[in-house]
Amino acid sequence: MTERTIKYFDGELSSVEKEKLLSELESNAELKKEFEEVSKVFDLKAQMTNQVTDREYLKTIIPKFRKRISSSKGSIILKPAFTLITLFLILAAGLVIFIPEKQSLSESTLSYFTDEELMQYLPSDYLDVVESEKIDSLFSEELRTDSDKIASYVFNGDDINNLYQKSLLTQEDEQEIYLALIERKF
Amino acid sequence: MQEKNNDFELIKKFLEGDESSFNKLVLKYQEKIYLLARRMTGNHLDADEVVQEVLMVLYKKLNTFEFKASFYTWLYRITITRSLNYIKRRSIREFLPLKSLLNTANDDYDPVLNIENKEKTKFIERLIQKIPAKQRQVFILRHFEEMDYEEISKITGTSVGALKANYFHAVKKLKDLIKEYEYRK
Repeated sequence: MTERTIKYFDGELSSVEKEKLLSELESNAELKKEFEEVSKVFDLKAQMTNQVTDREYLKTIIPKFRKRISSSKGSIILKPAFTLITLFLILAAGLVIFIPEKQSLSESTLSYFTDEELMQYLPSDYLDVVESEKIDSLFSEELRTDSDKIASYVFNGDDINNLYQKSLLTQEDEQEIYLALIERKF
Repeated sequence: MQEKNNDFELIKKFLEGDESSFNKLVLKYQEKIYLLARRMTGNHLDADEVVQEVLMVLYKKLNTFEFKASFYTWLYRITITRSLNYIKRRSIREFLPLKSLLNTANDDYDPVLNIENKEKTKFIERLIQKIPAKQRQVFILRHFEEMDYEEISKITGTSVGALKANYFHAVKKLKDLIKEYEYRK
């Protein structure tokens, strides 16, 4: 019922539908009441269409805008977007400066890692790196604490420290020791 | 058509660097922008702020205007969007206990003139504010700006069917609000 009444006032009914509605109003009290209620909404239009804006106010719009745009050109630092970007950059710079860089694995940094870290970082793909690092903490530590064991499985029981002292370890021997160590550890 | 060409001419001149063409465009449409913003926001101070925002968007985005649709439609779209955004921001400010952020200064001044009954106009503005913003925009464009649904659809990007449904709900809600007001009086 309401939809039809609204359509009537909105000019959406055909002339036949309009006529039918108007004739029904005569006999249908409920429809008539609603018709009057809806008509009040459409009466609002008459009140609002007479509006005229004060010329003095309208004259202020462009100067106000010009002032605003010239000040916005001059004060970029006050813009929220600029402030946000600046804060973001400061934060990013802080992260770069203050958060320690995760040490990447290379020949030069190998000796900085503990055995546990090496175990964590060095999958078998890094064997080349381990082999080429000649004096690294891994080898030294292993040699110091477990030389007999190494000797037993690399040199059939020869004392590895003695071999070193006597300079009897060749480049190939060192390579072999490394490979054995790596194989054992990883 | 002549009107459309004049607007296009002014836009082109502005884009070529002629600032006075922008002023001419504003002078031509400022009252329409203001009244639309005023009906959307329900008061002068908020409408004034929306007008300035719309001009800022126009100034910065006129280079993206495609000379296909009418400038008028484009301008209305910007005004409606800025008004809806403003209403959203305002409702957040009202929700937060930061009264100082609300636009309450110089509340007495009202540039809308020649109205037989100012009180009644204020009542209507308050009434319209009580319906949801999406319904309000259709109601205002259809009822006060006398646009057809196709035109409103271009401005709001909503289908004609959805617009009709929103308009119907808006009128029904307003009818109930008037009834309630009269009952309490």
